[in-house]
Amino acid sequence: MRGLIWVTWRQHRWPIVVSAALTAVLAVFMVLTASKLGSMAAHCADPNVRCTRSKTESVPSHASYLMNSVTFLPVLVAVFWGVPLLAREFEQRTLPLAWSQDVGRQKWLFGKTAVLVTLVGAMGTLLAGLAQHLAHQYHAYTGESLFEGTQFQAGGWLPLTLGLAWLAIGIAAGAATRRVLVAIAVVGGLWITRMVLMVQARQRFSTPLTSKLPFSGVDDAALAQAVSHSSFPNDMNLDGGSTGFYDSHGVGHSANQVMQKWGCADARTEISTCLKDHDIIGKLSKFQPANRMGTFHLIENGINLGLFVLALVVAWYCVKRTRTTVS
Amino acid sequence: MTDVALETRNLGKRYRKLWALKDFSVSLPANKVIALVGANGAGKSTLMSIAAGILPATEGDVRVAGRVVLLSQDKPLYRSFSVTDMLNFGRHMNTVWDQQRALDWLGRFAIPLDRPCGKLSGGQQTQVAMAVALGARPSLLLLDEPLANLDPVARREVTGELLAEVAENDMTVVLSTHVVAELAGVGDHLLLLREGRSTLDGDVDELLSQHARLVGPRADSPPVEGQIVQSGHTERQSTFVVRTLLGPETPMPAQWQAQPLTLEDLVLAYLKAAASGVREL
Amino acid sequence: MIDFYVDRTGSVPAYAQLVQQVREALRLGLLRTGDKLPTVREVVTSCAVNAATVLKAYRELELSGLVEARQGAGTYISGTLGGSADPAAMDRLRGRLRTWVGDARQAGLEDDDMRALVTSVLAEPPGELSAEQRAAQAQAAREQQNPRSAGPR
Repeated sequence: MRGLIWVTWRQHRWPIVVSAALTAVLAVFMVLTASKLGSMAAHCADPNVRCTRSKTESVPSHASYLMNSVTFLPVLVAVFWGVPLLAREFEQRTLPLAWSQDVGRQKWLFGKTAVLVTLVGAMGTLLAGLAQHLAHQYHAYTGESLFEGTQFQAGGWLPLTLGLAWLAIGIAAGAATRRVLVAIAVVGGLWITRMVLMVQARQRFSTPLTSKLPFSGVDDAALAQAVSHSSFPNDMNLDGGSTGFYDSHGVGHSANQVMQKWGCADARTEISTCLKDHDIIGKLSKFQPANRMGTFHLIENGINLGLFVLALVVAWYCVKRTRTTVS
Repeated sequence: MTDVALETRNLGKRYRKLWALKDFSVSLPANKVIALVGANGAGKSTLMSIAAGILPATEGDVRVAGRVVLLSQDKPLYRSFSVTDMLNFGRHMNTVWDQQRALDWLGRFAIPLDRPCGKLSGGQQTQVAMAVALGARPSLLLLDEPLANLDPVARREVTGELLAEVAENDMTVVLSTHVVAELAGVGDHLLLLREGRSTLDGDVDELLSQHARLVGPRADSPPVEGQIVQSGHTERQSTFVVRTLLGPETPMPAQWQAQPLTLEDLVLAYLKAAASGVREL
Repeated sequence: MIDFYVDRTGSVPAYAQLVQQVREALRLGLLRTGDKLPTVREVVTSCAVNAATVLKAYRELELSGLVEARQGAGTYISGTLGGSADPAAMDRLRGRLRTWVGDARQAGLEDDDMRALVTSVLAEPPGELSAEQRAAQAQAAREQQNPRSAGPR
């Protein structure tokens, strides 16, 4: 195993060094940003202080960038760590050399994978921990839900399991295509597919709840805010204000019905007047409640680890089947 | 001396529908230089890969005594590795490693140790690959076309040094090649492959002493008993390559001459016979 | 020290070429008693021939009494060639060959024809020798042995 550690280091030292440096830089920035957000949130906790709590301010938007970077890193792991492991050896025809030493091809594959998994695991643990912390500080300051978007993906150790899964996917793509560039294209395609699919799939991990939010006041400002803002801090809001509205009889009306057909979205009409005219007393909201977040993280981590195992099985199958002679 | 380095029994390897090796049984003597000769696609690389354990056989058994190292045709090296790194690679990837032996080999050919393998000439790369192969202290060294990218001077030098390694160590070398002319005096043992089968297998000196080219007046069959390997006729003259007990020493009737064959003649006679045999079928 | 050379194009086996070259060197005086032959490794690396080939050649030279292997020290020339050392026999053979060549020229043979003829006769198995030739051979053998039994002069 010591030999395989040396070989893995020698062959992958540049990606490893660059990744370690990147990890360090990201870690420092995340710690600093999180601490800034923390003190900002503490400052705003004083009821006498007036805070905008806007996510477009510079510190929260930095936090947002950092969390986005962390959730994007796994695809880089796949491209720079996973793909070259086999694809580069196929391209440079060095597998007969690697596999004709005393270390057999199975031990070779799993030994090298184990070294990379350990490194990705270490860096991933650090970054995922810091990202989770940052997400909490972001939530504390901006009030954005932890269950949504980047905050959800940065939390619950998802960056760690996603990194491991995509390391394995990169290895498998290299094993299956035997070409670095083709494997990178495959990985890119799969990554985009994953992003699109997961945005849809995440909402359906369990049946969403629907709640009725009455417009509490009658003044237009409060009404407008109620229409555009959810007041449930850590829920996953699924409709973005498009689920619909309900009238005084409790009958639901779709957003399309209310805004387009009844013309409430028309600039010339006052929206609150329009809603009142049609007896709308509140809005409907479809959501995943905050207490499901842990389960959702668990499900997504499970998917990631499943993909990790599946990809390694694919890689092993490709390696086992590889002929090392052409005669 | 009668130790066996490599033994196969009914070995077969099929690539989809094509049999690269079929019903292949040989027993190769240890501490010898074995010349593995055959046309491209005759199964030389397949046999070596199976013996080295990097290619599973479809059927049959192969038994190897001791450590096997295969140096495949394209002499793979990690291009970004320096020569020293390649030796470290060998040291880390093998349970047995002889750094001095590898360094000695590189020293004999003045290979710069700190240069990346990708920046070495083809010949130098071959030397590095050889050094890594020898450093693993194989008892059976399989060399697939090892001299292909060397110039004639280097070929002679490498062959010489390699033979010295065989003489000084307990090592069997299987040398596959299609440059038969260079094998004279090099191989102790000849193994001729054709279409995945062994056509000729034996000690080179013995084989040469058992074969002769008989030249005489036109005749349908040679004047002596024996296996006809090849025959050719002109209007007045007939030439036979035969395998008989006494070879060129066979007593000949008047007008017939028995000439000894070179190793190249012998190999070519069998290969040509095989080719014409195919046409007749 | 002798420099061996192996010709791979001819039909003479490599070990026989080495033996021949030692005999030739002795005949020409390039090698004398007490000279050391190259080590097996030296021959193997310089001529790129198998060690078994070199060992076979050295064993054959040893059996014919021309060299001796000294334990751990190498192989040394220990004897001289017999037959060709007798000038009288050589002269006689040369004279007969000169007559034969004259006859052949008269019969219209060119040099190459004669060489081919000699080669083909040499290639004939010893069983083909006439009674007269066999007698001559026995005579030659006796002449070869005589100087050695008489001891160094």
